[in-house]
Amino acid sequence: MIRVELSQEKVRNRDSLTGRVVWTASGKKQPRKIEAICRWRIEGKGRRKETIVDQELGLDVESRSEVSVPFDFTIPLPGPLSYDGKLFRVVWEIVGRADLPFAIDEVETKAFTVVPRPWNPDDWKELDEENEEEIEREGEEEPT
Amino acid sequence: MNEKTDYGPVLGSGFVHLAAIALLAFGVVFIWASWSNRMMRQPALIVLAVCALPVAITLFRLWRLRKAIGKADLHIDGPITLGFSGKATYFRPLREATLRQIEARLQCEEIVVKGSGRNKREMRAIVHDEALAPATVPMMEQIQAQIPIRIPPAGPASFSEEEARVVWWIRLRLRMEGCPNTQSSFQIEVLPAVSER
Repeated sequence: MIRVELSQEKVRNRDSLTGRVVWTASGKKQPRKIEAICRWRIEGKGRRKETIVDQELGLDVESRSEVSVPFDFTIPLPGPLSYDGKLFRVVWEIVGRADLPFAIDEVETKAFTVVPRPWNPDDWKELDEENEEEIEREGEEEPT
Repeated sequence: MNEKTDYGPVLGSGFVHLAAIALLAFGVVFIWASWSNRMMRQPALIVLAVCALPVAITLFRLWRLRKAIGKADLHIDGPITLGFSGKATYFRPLREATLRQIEARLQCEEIVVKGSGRNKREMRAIVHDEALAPATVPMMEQIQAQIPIRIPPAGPASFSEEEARVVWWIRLRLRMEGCPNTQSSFQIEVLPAVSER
């Protein structure tokens, strides 16, 4: 059995979300790995999309009856924020997955809400600088 | 950081222009089909002239509009966040026309993409629509309007992915004297941060 535990259900963009994915043995099957995935997805009347923001892997799982994979995911500053509109929704969630050999993986999903952080120009200045650096790096890497 | 794009001047709805072009196309096809018959040449030319009339009127109106008013610009101080409260200033050069009335709206639009390839199409829904109260400053050869805007703190923020978008607009409708009425739309980017008051 797998479960996802979150420290909080509401988080601001650029803040961290901590918690853990816990797998408890309930049969003979031993998982190959336990994954904790932080993702957001678009669902609604249009096309669907899923974006994985970060993930944590637990590989040391052999012959253990309980495995805990702690995580500390940072929500990106540009978001997106959680949204429930007329035509689509933006849903943030943590997915816990136990990769079982020759069996259907055990999966548990827990949604959380991303709300806007208070406006601070310095946050965005840093983001702009990071983006500029990235563009410069990409420019240097490109063959002339 | 904020995109303010003028999507104008717009001269009426797109459907009217499409219908005018379709009518012109009909006239061209008619004259092409009738040209071999000498008796039909003159009536066919009259049909073409009638069919070309709406396009000619539209082109004339567009020419008058372009001659009378210049490119619009919108200026907003500072980055726009959720809960933002401030003034937008709208400028537009005027030459041979005067402004009678200006209407402004703040709109938030959701756009989603359905299907792919040839079946790809967009669905749109307005999720926020608010009338604004622009105050015009009387100026020679220029329209200048101060538009107070307030973005709701509850959002949503601007969002742009291939599959779905949230777009904030400031849309203006200008009733003119001396040239056709026109519209102007500016897209503004609302950052995912909230201004606390």
